Amino acid sequence: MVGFKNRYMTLEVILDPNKEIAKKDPVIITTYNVTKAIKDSILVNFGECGLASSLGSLQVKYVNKITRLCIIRSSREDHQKVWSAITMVRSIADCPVIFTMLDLSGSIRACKTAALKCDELKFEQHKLVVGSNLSAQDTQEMQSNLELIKRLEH
Amino acid sequence: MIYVLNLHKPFSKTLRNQLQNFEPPLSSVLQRAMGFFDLGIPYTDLPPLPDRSTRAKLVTKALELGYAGVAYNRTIKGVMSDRDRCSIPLLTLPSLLKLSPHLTSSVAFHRDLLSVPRATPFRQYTRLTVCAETPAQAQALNYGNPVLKTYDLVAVKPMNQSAFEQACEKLEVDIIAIDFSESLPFRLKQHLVKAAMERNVYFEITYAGFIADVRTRRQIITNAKLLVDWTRGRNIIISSAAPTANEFRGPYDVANLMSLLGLSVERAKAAVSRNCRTLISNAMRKKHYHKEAIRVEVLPSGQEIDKPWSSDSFNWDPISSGEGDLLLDDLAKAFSNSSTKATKTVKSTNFASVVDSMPSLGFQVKDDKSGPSVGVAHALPTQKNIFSNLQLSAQSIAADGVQEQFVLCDTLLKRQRFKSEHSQKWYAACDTKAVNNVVEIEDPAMDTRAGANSPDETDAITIEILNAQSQKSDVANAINEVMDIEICASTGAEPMNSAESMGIKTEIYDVQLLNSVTAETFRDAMEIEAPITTGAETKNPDGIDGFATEIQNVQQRSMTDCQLNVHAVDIGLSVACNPDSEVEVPTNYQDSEIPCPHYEETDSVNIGDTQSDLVDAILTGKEKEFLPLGSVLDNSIPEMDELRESEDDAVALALSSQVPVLDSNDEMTVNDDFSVANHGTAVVIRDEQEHGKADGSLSYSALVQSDLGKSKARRKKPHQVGFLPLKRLLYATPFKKVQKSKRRHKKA
Repeated sequence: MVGFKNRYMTLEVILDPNKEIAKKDPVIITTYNVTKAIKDSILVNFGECGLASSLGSLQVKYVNKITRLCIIRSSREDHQKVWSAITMVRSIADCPVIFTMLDLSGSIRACKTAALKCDELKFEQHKLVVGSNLSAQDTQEMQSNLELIKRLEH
Repeated sequence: MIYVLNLHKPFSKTLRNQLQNFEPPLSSVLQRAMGFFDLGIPYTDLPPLPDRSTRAKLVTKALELGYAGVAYNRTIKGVMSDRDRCSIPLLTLPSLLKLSPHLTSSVAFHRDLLSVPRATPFRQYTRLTVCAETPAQAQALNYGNPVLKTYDLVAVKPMNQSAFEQACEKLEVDIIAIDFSESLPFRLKQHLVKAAMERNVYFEITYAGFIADVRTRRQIITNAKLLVDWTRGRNIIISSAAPTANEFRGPYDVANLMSLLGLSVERAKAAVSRNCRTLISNAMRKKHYHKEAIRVEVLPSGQEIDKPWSSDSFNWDPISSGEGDLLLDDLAKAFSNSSTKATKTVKSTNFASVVDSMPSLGFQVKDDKSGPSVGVAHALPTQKNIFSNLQLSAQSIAADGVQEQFVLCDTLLKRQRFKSEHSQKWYAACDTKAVNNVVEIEDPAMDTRAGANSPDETDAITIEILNAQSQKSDVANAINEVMDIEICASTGAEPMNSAESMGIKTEIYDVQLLNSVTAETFRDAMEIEAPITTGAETKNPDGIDGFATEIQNVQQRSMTDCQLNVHAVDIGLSVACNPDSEVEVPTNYQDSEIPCPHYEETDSVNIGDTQSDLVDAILTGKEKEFLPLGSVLDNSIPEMDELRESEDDAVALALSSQVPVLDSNDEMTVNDDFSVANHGTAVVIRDEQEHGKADGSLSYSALVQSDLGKSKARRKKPHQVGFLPLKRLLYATPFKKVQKSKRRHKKA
C-alpha cells in the first residue's frame, strides 16, 4: 500500500502582466528561480514550520522557459497550502508574475500527459506571438523539453 | 411601436427565497458548465487615461484566465446625485485585441482547461457601491431610485453599525461589500448575517489585498474568517478589487486561496461561479422586468412583423448584459452575424412609460396582421443561421450552465445536419423561429402543413418538432434520451419510445385560432383530442397514461389557422410520475426560446424547465415531443403539479421538453403556455435557479389562449397583470387536478 501520496501541479507562469505587448521577456525562469520564489512565499505565509513540513516533498520537477510551464510536486497534505503560497507569489527577481494552475493530478503519469498537452499548445501560442522570429534553437529546445517531460519520474 | 411583452411570473416571496437559496448537490458537471465571474473590477472616473488602459489590461487578463464575465465597480460616497448615473464605458473586443493580439488562442486554451465552453460570451456588467454612513444615505438605496437603475448591480458598503444593520435587514441591494483589509468599523452579528442570507444578499470578499501586502493579508483573514463561519460559506461571492493586473488570479487559484479563510473547496468554487451567476441573474431580472414580471422590449420600427422572433426570442439570455457581451470572433466563427447580434439587440424599455401607451384592452399580443409585439425581430434565419442560432443558443445555454442542453443541442444539430432538404424547408416555410435545442426537423410531410402557418402567427415561437414518423427511428438513434411523441395524423399516435420514457414530456399542441380560443374552447379541444390520441401515450412504459400525447390529435384537426400550440402541461402532468423522478429541466427551450410575449411563471416548481412551445405551424401536423434527456429525465409531473399551482395567469401548457436536470435538483423552469383569448401573450415560465442552471427560462408566447395552465392548481395568486381580461377564464380548471407528488426538487 502506498502510504505516501503526492500531488503534481502543472502551472503556468505569466510574466509581467502589466507590460505592453511584445516586449522582451524581462526574466528567464529557471528551476532555481521558481523554487526560491515559492519557498520564500511559504516562509512568509506559513512560517518556519510550514516551510519545513512542506519542504520534504516540495520539488520543482520541470520548468520550460519558452512556454513558461512548470511542474511542481508536493505532498498531498500540504498541496493546498503550497498552492496558496504559489498563488501569492508576486514577483520573481523583480519581475511581477502570476502563477496559474492548469492541472492538478495525483500521479506522475497523468501529470505528464497533461503537461505534454499544455506544453504543446503553449508552444503553438508562442509561435504565434513570436511570428517569424522563431529560432531553430527554440524549437530544438522545445523538443528536448518535451523529452524531459516524458522522462519524468517521481 | 410594437412592444413585446415578456411576462414573468413572480414568485411568491418565500418560494422565491427558497428557490434562490436552493443549492443543489454539487456535481462536477454542473460546475463545469458554469462560467466564472469577477464582479469587482474597480473603476474610477478620475484620470481617465491611465485608468482606461489599466482597466483594459485587467479585463484582458480576466478573459485570458478564463473568466466569463466581469463587473466594473464604481464607488461613491455621500449623497447620490443625478450625476452618478451609470457612465461606465464598456470595453469592446477590438480594444482588447489591440492589447493582446493573440487573445483568442490563449482564451481558448484556458477555457478548455477550465471546461468552459469556448464560445461563451464574455459579459460586462456595471456595478455601483454606495458607501453608507448615515441612515439617510442608506435610505436612498431603495428600489425606486432611478440612479440605481442605471447600474446592473448595486452594492452597499456600510461604514458603521447601524448602516450594517440596515443593509442586512432592509436595504434592497445585491451585495454587501465589506472592506476587510482594515479593522472593521462595526461588529458582525450573527443574527444580522443570517437575516441577510435569508434575503438573498451576498457578502463580498475581495482577494487583492491578500496578494498585495502582508499586513492586509493578516487583516483580511482575521476579519473575514468570522463572516465565513457564520454564513457557513453560502451567500458569499469572491471578487478581486485588483488595482492592476498583477493582483489578478485565475478562478481556481482564487478558490483555493479562500480555503485559508476556512471556506471549503466546494463553497469556494461556487462562490466564484455559481453564486455570482445567481446574483447576476437575479439582478438582471429585477432590472429588466417590471415588478419582476414583465419585460417590454421595443421592436424597432420598420421591422417586418413577419419575421420570426427567432434568435432573439429563442436566445434569450437571462444574464446577458446587453451590449456588454463580447463574443470572441474567432471562436464564434460558426455563428453567423445575425445570431451574434441576436443576443445583443434587445433593449428593454421602461415599463412605466409603456403602460400608458398600451391599449386599454390589454396587450394585443398578437394581431392577425399586425404582428406580434415581438422583440427585435430578426430576419428569418437562413439555413445557416438557424443552425448557428441553434448553436449559439446551445452555446449560451451551455454556458449558462445547462450542459445537457448543450449536448442535446449538439446532437440535435448533428441530426439536423443529416436532415434532408426538407427540414430546411421546413424551417423556412414555418418561419421557424430559432430552433431551440429540441427542435427537430420535420419531415417533408410536415412541410406542407408548415406552410399553412399563417405568417401572422408570430407569437408562438417554438417550433416543435415534429415529424415523427420518418424520424422516429432517427430520433431514437440519434438522441437516446429524447422522447418523441409522434402524432401522425394518419396513423395515429405512435407509441412512445419506451426507452425514453423516463421523462415526461408533454407536448401538446393545439393549434387554434388565436382570437377565438378561450379556456373553454381549449378545454374542449383538449378533450376532443384526448379520444383521438392513440394509445401512444399509454404505451409509455412508465405508465404515464394520460400523457397525452395528445399531441396526436392535433393533426386531426386541420388547423389551418394554426397557430397556437398549446402544450398541455397538464396532460403530461396527470401522468403518473415516478415518485423518484427528479427535477428535470426541459431542454427544449432553455434560454434560447423566448416567444414574445412571455408570461413567466417563476413559481415553481423547481423541477425542470418545461417549455411549452407555441406552434405556429407546426402543429398542423405532428407533434413531436422532443425531450432531450441529459441525465435524467424526470417526470414532469411534480412539476406539472407545480405548474398548476402557478399563477393564475399562467397557462401552462405543455411542458414540452424537459431537460433533465442534473443530478442536483435544480430548479426548473417551467414554462407554461399562457393563453389568453385574443392575446397572444407568451407565457414564460421562468424559474431561475439560483445557480444558473435553470437559465432556461422558457418563455413561450402562448398564442393559444387555451388556458390549460389554469387547470393547474394555483398555488399562489400573483399579482395579476391588468390587461388580461380573461383572467377569469384562466382560473377555469378543465381537468381535475391530480396532485401526485410534492415538488420534488431536493433542497440540498
